[in-house]
Amino acid sequence: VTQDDPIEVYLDQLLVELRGSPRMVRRVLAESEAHLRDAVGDGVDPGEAVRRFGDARSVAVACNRQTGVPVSVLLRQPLLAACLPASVGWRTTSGLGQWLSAALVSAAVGAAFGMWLLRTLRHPQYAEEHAPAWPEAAGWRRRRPSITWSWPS
Amino acid sequence: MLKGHLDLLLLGLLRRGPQHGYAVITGLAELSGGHIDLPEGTVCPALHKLEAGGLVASEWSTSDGRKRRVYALTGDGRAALAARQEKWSLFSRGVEAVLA
Repeated sequence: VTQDDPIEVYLDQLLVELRGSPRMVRRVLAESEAHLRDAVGDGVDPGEAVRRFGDARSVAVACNRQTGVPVSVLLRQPLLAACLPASVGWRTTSGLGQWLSAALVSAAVGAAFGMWLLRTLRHPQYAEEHAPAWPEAAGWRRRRPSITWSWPS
Repeated sequence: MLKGHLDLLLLGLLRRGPQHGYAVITGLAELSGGHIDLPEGTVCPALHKLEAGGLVASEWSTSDGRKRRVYALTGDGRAALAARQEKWSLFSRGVEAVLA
């Protein structure tokens, strides 16, 4: 088996396209490989065996239709896709936006989780009076005691 | 046209005895004189559908050091085959009569 083996390449493509339960995906892959290796054992060229088996996407669509796709698999992709804009939105929205988001989360999954999320993820709103504390927080005063900080006017 | 009758063909083929997917495909091609030539990958999901419907049963089998999924007709599968065969006979006789 080499990386250029058409059967291996085909099985990789099929794996990417299949959407069923892990057990069903493994079974379809195993059956497909057995079929393709049988064809090659019958003297069919590996490339021709793959061509006769059919386009990986079409085969996967037919298999997905028969076996059904678990809800978790259906939801995974849109949820992951939504994570990035959601996280960017969280970091950029105002305090009011965060409260509204937390309220939505609370309504969806419970108030306790919404409040926990707000406390955990909400970034502090920095103001001028916090500036003198920043060097100390960063450890600068210990290393450079002569430097003092003030908010630029 | 073949799409609607693939189940009947698969059940008919499995009536001859348990077979694995590749044997099913080659059997279809040979017995039909090469007239039935499907993308081979379509047979696997069709067999899965029949299995989900309880018309065939399958298990892994190893022969010549190779692992294959072997499909066999169930009792329900035999009954379904008889019913579909009867429908097909009526249909084909009707078509023949019209075309004669």
